[in-house]
Amino acid sequence: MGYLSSHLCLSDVYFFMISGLYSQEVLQGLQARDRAVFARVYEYFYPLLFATARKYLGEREQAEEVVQDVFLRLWEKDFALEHAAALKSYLFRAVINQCINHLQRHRLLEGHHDTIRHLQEESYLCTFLEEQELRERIHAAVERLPEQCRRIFKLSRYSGLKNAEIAHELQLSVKTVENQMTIALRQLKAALLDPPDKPISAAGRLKLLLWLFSI
Amino acid sequence: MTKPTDHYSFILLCLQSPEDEVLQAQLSSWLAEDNSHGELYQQVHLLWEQAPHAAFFEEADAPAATARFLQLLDQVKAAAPVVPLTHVRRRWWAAAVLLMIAAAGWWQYSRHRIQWIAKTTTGRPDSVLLADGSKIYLNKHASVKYPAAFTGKGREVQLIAGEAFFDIATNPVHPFTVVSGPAQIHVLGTSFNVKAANTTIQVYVLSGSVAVAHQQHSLRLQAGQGASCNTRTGEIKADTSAGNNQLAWRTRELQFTDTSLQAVCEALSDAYGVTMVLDPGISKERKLNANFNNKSLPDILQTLTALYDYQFEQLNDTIYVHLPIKR
Repeated sequence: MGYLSSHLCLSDVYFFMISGLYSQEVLQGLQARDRAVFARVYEYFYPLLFATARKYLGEREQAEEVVQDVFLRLWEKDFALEHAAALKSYLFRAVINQCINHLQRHRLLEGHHDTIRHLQEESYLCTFLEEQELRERIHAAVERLPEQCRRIFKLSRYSGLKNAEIAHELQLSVKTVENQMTIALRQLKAALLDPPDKPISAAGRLKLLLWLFSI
Repeated sequence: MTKPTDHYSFILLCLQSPEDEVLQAQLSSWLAEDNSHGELYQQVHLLWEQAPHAAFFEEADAPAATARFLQLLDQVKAAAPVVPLTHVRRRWWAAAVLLMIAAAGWWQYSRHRIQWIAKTTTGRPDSVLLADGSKIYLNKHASVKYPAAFTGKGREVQLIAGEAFFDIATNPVHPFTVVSGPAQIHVLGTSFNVKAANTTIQVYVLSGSVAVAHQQHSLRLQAGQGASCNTRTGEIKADTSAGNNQLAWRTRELQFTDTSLQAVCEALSDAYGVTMVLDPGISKERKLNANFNNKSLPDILQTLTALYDYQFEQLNDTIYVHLPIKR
């Protein structure tokens, strides 16, 4: 996950340039069934695609299978992509369609999985992709927190434990848990929303996202 | 509990105890103190809300998953080998690259050439679904022009004539503009009504906000606000009389509170696309208090007949209102 530092995953173009691959070369590599290019693209997009599939499918294995299927299809069939910038949304849409197929096969689409239907609408898909990218960046920033701080934040936000429960589990005082949570919030905000050196308008895009959520 | 001096621990407390009314009241007053408080709270709140969803990334071990995928790929490859790129094929490859460059050039060219589609209604309202999921509902005798696909930075449609209701799909990266003659309405994601008649363009916003612009004039409208723009002088005025009745042609919901008969007739004309002619002997100042939900025009006229002692007579698209003939 080294290359997922805060600003890189905002722009695939940046990724392709920094990794020495120009966009057209990536497309050509995929079309020529270049194993190394497949590996690179797979590894780069895996977290985003996996987490998206995992949101709708109950198990880790199923989610991974969906991502594998999408890339195997890419390998087996010719795909017509005019522009490398469209690759991400192409893969994203393919994963969502595959999830819908999976749920339909297992007759699970009704009930609480109804939300996924909205994703068949283009405008909603675009917003969802941006949300997922933000979540990926939050995850990467949480991983960079100091150890105790990270553990406490994950127990609170990932596992949904209350401060007292965390204090009990880790043999700490509630005050310490509160302090660590405060540190976590301060650092996450600093890392994600006001980076000191921004090569691209990451802050601008985040402002848009904030605006979007505030409507 | 006393309020912590540190902003972050205070925000944390508020986020963790949404049920604590005293605390939430403190939050409201703190937010009102300074604009920067609101911004900070919004940012931390966004991270707080989104963090639980980030947990799904915990299980995504990309290098290990990539190794598994490559293994799978090798099995597939063994089953169906792919022809490798050889020297003999280089020439073809070069030709293919040239073709791709040409195709990219054509693509660049074609994305700047927008294909416009026109839609005009006559006696019946109709609707249009745009490529981005936005919807336009056209009233009778309205005309719009829209591109087959949205390319480039902004999304633009034109209201050529008449009245239409716009329900715009949110997309902050590609702002939406409705052009009506010399005036433009800039939106990000909202729903609103536009009526172009003679030298006046009327706008009424149902949700979100828009900016109405004409040359150097510009006016921002929030939900529930209306404005009218004089296309000759370029003047844009807030329209306080604009209300929900402006959308009645689409919603079939009319609300009248102490409304004069004259105004009632105007609203009915707009909503049902008819012309109403009042007998000169009728007092135009008589007030009406009534709500009509999804009623047909004859139903409404029947109610009016019961309330007033006037007669309503419909001839094609014209309704004559006159005093009862004395028997």
